[in-house]
Amino acid sequence: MDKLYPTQEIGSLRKPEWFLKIIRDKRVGEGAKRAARDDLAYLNIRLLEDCGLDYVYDGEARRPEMYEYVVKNVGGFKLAGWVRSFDNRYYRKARVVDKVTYLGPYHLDEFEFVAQHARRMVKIPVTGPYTLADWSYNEYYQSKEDLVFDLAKNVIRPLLRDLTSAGAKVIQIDEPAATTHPKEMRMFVEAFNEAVAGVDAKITVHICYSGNQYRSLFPEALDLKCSQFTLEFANRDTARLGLDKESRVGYQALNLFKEYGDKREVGVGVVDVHVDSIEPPELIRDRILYAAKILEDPKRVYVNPDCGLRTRSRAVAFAKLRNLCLGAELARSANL
Amino acid sequence: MKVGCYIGGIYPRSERLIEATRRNPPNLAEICRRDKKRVIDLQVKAGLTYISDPLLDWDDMLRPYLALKGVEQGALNRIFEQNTFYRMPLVVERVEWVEPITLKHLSVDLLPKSRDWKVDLPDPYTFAQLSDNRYYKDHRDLVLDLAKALAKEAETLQQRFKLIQINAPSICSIRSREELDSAYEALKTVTKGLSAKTYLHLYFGDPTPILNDLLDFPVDGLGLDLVNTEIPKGLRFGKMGLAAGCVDAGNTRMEKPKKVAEELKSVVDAVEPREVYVCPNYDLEYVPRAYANRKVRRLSKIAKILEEAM
Repeated sequence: MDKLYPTQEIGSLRKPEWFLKIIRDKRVGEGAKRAARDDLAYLNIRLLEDCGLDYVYDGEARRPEMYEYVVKNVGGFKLAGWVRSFDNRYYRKARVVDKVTYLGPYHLDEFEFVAQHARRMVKIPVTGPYTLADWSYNEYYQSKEDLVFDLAKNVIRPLLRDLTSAGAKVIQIDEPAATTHPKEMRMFVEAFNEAVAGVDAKITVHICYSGNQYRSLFPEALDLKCSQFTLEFANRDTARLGLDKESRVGYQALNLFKEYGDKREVGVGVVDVHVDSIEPPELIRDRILYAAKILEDPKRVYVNPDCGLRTRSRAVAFAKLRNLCLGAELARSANL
Repeated sequence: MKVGCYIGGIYPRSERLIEATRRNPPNLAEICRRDKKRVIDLQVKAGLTYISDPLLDWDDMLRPYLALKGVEQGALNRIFEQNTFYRMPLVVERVEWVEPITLKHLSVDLLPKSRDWKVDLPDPYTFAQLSDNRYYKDHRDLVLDLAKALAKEAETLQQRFKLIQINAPSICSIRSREELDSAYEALKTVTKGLSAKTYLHLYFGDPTPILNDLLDFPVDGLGLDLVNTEIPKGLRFGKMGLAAGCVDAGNTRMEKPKKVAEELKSVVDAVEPREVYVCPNYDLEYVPRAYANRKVRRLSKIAKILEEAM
């Protein structure tokens, strides 16, 4: 994109109560539920565009969650129950009880709907093979590696190809588990590359909440076949304005790109998705400008929240996204 | 040799409690207590040696201790190599103990009077490692101040609890003498003069390179993750007890009690600990509730088979 500091969302938005009531109501027929999903997807697309984002999707309106939705639609998994993510946030974790199999393009309907209604660029989030394996209890494969590569080659790759055949141009592979086990970084990179092999689209990777501030990503990530890393930073930063190292303490991991000579784009997380306070545009501007300073090229900087905003109320999420876009505007003005 | 068994750390919330916590009804505390009671009853029925509060209302193992003076709530961070996150304690001034914390966060009245109780406490070195220190120039000073604060906590617990499980995952990755000394000094401060038995639990890492040194640590026993690590040959526990983490809290696959007991017997024969407890390798909160319940029942089966074989 020619525009400086393009703005994008990461994926999920909280589902409104009216929507959940319909979806959970056993008396409501499938037709009405489908209509509710369409309504929410449409609403999310419009709201994200109204915030001013350059890349949009549907807030994952049709997915209960980034992991559960996939394991319900891929053969070989069986849901086990709830496990904590943090605080009282839980996700349903699955057991792998058989060989994993691709049952069909499980994101195709939603992609086609978004492509039909979006006026901005569409970026589709797809949960990656390493994360799917890491978040599951492996009771079937001899090794985790066997599971990861089977998912990469025989589930995610066919899905990505089906999506690009349907017109997907930008695909964000969500791999929040990537840095969980530093010793498995090579496995993550090779499986990722297997998944995207022969896929004709711009591939970005989203990784968040790395326990070691992304240090374990490198040097292996240099071999990752993607053109952008979309990462979380605001969570560790101070709320002070400024372009000094102390104020921007949360963004020091960007130095790794310089240290390892990686010149690819970075989607920089500029709002914290785990607090309700709304970052002012001036703070977002400074975070963007600081990232541009470290990466030594403003054209490499994309602007996004740290992660999906599903943990925040919709009012908070949209206020954050609006300010994110205003902050990007301020940063563009500062660069003129 | 008598073989015991116990569980430690945070137990998984029931789906009912997760849902209730989301809705936050006025009787949430009562719903939580009922859920705790179920887990306590399960421990009693399964025949665990020590019964503990399942900490269903704890969001992570350090969260209550953010009440220490000088500590605030920091960023969300990954718990070692798990897909579960905790709030980093943000150290902004000198750490000091003001009032009892652990007891305030336990439902002691639910624990059965006829049984022995156990309680969890963080290890000061681990606490410091998992914190975002923005005050102390010397990290060791933070470790020692945390040790003093946690020693006060231990004092408040020792009368009621027969066993204090000290959770020390960060010690596993220590590879320098200086750090080991710091962890040792801190533990000495915590355990000094305690009447309760203390077990140092080591998981989420490989402590075997320093295991020889850990055998001299000022605790009554070591808790080891025997699912993911192997005790080096030739090591003798001597006066030290062993809490054998042989039930996998990281996988839903169910252990076969007879097979696990046989494997454990060969470990016990080799290292000759003073006493043995059969445990999960870490908190059972990493598997869903139904699987955790099944694993608790297996603990006592393993302990029984092992005891008969000894």
